[in-house]
Amino acid sequence: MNRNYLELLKEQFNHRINFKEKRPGIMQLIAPFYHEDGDMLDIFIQDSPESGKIRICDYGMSLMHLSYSYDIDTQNKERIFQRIVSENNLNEENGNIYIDVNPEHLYTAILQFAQTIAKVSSMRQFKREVVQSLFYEALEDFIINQLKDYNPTLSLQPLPERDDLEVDYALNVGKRPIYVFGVKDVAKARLTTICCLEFQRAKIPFRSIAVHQEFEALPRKDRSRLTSAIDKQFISLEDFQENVFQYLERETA
Amino acid sequence: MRTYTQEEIDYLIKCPKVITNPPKKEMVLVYGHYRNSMNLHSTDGTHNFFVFMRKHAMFAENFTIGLDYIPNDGSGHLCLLRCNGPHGGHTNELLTDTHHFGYHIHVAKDYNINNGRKSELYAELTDRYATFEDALAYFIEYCNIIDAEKYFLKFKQLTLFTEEGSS
Repeated sequence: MNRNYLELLKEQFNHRINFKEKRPGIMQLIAPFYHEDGDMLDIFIQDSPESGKIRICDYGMSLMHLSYSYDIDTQNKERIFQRIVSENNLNEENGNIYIDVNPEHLYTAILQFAQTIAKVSSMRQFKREVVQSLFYEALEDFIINQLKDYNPTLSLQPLPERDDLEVDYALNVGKRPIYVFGVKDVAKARLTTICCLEFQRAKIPFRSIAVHQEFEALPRKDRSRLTSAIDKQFISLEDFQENVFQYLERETA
Repeated sequence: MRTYTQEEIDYLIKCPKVITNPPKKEMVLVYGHYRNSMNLHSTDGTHNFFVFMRKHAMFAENFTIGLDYIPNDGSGHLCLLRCNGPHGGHTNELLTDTHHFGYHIHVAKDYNINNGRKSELYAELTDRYATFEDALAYFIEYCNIIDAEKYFLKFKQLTLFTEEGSS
């Protein structure tokens, strides 16, 4: 490959970069672009199959690095990945992210490439536990802001002697409040079931709602127990946000 | 956010472990790299771990073998150790322009975790292995996976587990 372009690139980066020959004709860029674990971004420069152009690519190393903590193993994740790549004007083939550029655009293309790799790497923030942790925040935000006409009370303990049985939110709609429980996992499903059964046993006047993160993800027996104990369930936060107003109108009519 | 002490981390890395979900017999090619994985359980029955193995299809020196801790509180995997090949540069300080370029081992440090950084940001150069297979044998021994020979027969045959100087 024409090394003049590499020298020019070095100059444009004020001599803060270098190159290492990975394989004959494949130069690895040594530059202060790092993943959060301290590993350098894998950026390679070589001749493009398109005459006169230079190829910048990662030989699939970005997806390999991402796979240490996050897998692109569903159509939805694949769609998001492809969108990041294409919206940043890059291409992908069998995991290899690349762009073919005219030599005079090498400097800006390297910066654009590094930025895109960083975006692909940040897909690990979509991990289930990260997204799930947002569920309770999103539920609380919706109840406080959208259901404020129902004077929601947070963290209510209907049985003073049982501080282990707590209601997430109580919607005050007359003599029989509506207790709302956010349910994102098996543990919370079981606690909600116990709460409802104990409140019923204590003859507290109330109605109850469970808002699930993902109803279908619960084991069948937990779904059965909760269905038996609770008055109304919304299978997802979206379901709750779309249909709770109609439900509350009916309940308070 | 849960904090960790270095003693806890070191214990988790070195405590004896058994394989609960074995690796595939052959590594699988996905997106230009070979991969495999297995689940582990500490022999005292209290801790769960996940091991991931990656080896680039074209650049054999680009590999990693990692040990994740899976806390029981559902807070997600925490990487404790990763044995890497010389895939490229690595720095222990993201804001400095100093890096090393060689075989290296990422190790979880309490100060990184407790300051909200990536657990395995710290890494040190190593001369304990030169290939993926070497690294795997080293990893299995270092992480104290006591029944690995059931699934990694060829390493037992090659007696890679012996200490330097022993027969």
